[in-house]
Amino acid sequence: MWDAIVVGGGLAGWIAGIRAAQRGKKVLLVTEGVGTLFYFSGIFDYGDVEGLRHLPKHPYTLFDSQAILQGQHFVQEICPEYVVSDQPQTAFTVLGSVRQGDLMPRSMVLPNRQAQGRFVLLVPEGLKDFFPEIVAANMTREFPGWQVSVKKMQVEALAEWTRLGKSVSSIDYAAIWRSEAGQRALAQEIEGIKRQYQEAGKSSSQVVVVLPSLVRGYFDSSRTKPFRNEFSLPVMEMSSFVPSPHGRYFAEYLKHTFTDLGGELMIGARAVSINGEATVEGQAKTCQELIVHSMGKSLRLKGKKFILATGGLLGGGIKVSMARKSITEGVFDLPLYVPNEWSGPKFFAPQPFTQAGVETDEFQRPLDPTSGQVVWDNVHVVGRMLAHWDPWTQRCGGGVSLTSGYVAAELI
Amino acid sequence: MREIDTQVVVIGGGATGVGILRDLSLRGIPALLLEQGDLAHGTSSRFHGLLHSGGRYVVKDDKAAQECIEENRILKRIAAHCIEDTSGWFVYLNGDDPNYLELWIKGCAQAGIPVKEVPLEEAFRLEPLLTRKAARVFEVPDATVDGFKLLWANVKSAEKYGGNYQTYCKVQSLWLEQGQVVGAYAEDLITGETIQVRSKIVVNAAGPWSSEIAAMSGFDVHIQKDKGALLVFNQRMFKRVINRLRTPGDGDIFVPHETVTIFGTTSQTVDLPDDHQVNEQDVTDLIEIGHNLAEEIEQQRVVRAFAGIRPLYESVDASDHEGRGVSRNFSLIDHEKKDGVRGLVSIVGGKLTTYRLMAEKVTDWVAAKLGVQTVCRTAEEPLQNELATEVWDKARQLLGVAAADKMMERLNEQAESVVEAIACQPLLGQYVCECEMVTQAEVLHALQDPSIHSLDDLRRQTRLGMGTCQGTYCTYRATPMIQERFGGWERTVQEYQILLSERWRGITPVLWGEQLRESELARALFLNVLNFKVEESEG
Repeated sequence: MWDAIVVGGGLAGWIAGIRAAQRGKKVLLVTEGVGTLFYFSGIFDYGDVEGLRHLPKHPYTLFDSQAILQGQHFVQEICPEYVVSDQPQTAFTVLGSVRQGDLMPRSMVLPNRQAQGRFVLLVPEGLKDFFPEIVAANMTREFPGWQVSVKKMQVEALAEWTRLGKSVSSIDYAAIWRSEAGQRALAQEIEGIKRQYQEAGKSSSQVVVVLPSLVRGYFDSSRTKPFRNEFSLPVMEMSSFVPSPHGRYFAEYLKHTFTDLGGELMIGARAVSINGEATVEGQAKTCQELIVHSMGKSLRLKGKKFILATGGLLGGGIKVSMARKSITEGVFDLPLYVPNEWSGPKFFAPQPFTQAGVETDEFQRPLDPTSGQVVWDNVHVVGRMLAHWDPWTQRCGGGVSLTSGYVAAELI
Repeated sequence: MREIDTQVVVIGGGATGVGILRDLSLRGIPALLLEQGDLAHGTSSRFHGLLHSGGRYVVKDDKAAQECIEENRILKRIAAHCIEDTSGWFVYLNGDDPNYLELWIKGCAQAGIPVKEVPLEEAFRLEPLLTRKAARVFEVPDATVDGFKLLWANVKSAEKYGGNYQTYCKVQSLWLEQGQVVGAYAEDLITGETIQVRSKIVVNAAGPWSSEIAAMSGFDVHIQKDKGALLVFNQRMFKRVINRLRTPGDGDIFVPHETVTIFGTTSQTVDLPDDHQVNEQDVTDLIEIGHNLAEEIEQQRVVRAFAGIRPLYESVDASDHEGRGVSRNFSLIDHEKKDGVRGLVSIVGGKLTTYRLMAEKVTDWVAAKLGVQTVCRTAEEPLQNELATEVWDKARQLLGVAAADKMMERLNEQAESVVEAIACQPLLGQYVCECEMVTQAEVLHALQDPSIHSLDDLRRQTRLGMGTCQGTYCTYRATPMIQERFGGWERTVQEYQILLSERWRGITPVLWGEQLRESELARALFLNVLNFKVEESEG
């Protein structure tokens, strides 16, 4: 019997699991895959929290400001590279344009735009889905006082590969940067840039080297990092494109953090249904066990509390069948809020379907949207499965997921 | 104002128009084709991609059936690179009308369409998704045809023989002098310039827009605009074209195409020549009917829905005036006979399979008027020259067989420069579009074409954005090339938005299942990872 079983290994699930484990609870996290973390840019957005709290039923209405702040500090606590700041922080997108972000690794935070300096964009040969000329042009436009130059670099291990016209994904390069040889190559390259400036008689003091997805943020307790090299110039990294190196290593980092705290993990396991009943007729039901399919076997897992973190439409927690004959949540078969209008004509505008999800009470327990009654009294819903929000147009994906995961863990 | 002198103006850059341009050019008659949008933006790209054997028409319209089988044979010869000779099946289900079956078999024999019955067991083995309600299966020489490729091939061939065309050039009025049409006035939609074209003859080949063109001079050409909706599935459900053996109706054709299946259609009379919107009801109705031929249709992923307008011609004596009742034959309207005005001919009705024949008839008429004796050669002269095996081998070495063959078919004679570019700079061999295996070098090549004015035009030439991702990854990957060609970051962002909005129109009627996930991923990428601006909702 676990104190809590978390279903789903995305951002909200990991946060809930880690916080519960940190509080000394016996926690099991069951996940089928890696969730949508592989699309993670490396930056958490909170959006206009106060504005969003005024939207009826937005998940932020479930939390007080204190909880939102605690969630932010919790991220900083488990991953000190993430900086909480009162000031708006900005970072480069993979296109070299500037985007705001509420919580980002120190190594991504952009310097003052009013100041002057030099960016040297260091581009490894054959990097897939990366356009140095576009990036440099956008950087120049965004930082008028800064000089931007592009420096290409070759990694010996990949020289033959790129010569044949093969591209290298940023995931592969990130793995190389984490190896001893990769770190050494990078350090040498950066030392070379520094020397070049010195030989030309220019000061290298305002030179900042910019790298696509270096992923420095999750080094310390991740076991994939053998050692850490210091570079002779300040190095900044851009946020990730997909598949995202930040997402990959952050997921790994969260996994280690969780297991280090004693959390138990079951990967490749699909939660399919639950058993539970109402102790009193007409009252909320209590879930006793979760039925999980894993490696051809069916397992029954007993828990006191259950956290549903299977994601929404993108993550696969909500399934929509052909012609929308059915829209379902696959584990608890929870009743869902489904908007009447499904989509709007503009692709980049807010879309009604994004609001689909589970409505909850203030303890994130699922409600029946028609009766308003709590359906399960020991189930808490977190992350994208919650109804009435859109991470992309409201820019609060990280905020809702982190806060809901953190708060749910406090309820265990 | 720009003034141009030519012999013949062809209005409309669909299959018929470019077919006429090629035929005129092959006969040495100077001609200019004017198209209001991009080539193939209308009906010629908005159909199921079926090269009819004629089987569909044998019972009701034997003339159309005969034309189809003849043209089917000709096109397989002259346009082999645009056609996949899949063959097609007509499937008679338990409970379908046996009288129709009898008439159909007789009709095929009369029209000269070879029919071979396929034993049921064999049929189920070859096409596992075929309904078990099938009672009899007949094979006919149906095939699939790529409307885009066919159009480009015609236009390139016409150019070689001196034909000219101008896209984004909208005809504003016909130029009448003393009871004769002597040209047309058009507006260049890119520059805003007015163009005055003087010619001996004007050919109205504007498909669903034919009524509008004729009406410019007060003539009445009654086109029934019949909208057909189609669904695109993200894989080949069948290896062959699958027809239902019954009186032609909605939702009875599945056509395998490259990596997808196109399923349709519906039939609905509409008012506007560009009413391409598909509503959800059309889609649910189609899927419901689709169960008859493919019981597992609901397990399949629908990528998008689209619609085209059949420009059906109602001649005065037709007895049945509704949708599929109207003949699929084409008519040549000599406005001298009809309206007493010389120099104008309209070509209406027909179908893509018979585009060449329609072009031949029109060009015969034009040639007679101009006193040109040269005979038609379009039934013999291939649209594409044999490609040098060295180029082909080199492409296969550089890109692998699958990607190389697809590219060679798309580019044919122009492939050589693309292959050279990749040989010199191997990184140009990276894919921009992984679904259709389109390389950077090929996109760069396409962008050199001055008739490409937008990312959407590029899509029609390269198939970029037509696969499963519906433009999410491939448009992103084309960024440096788009910026280089169209200039400036803002324009690049705008091009993304236009293309993705256009794709979105086709996705919204089928917004469920894996395609819905794909759309959410696209929104995440553009709005979050790439930080594009959120648009305001309407209303």
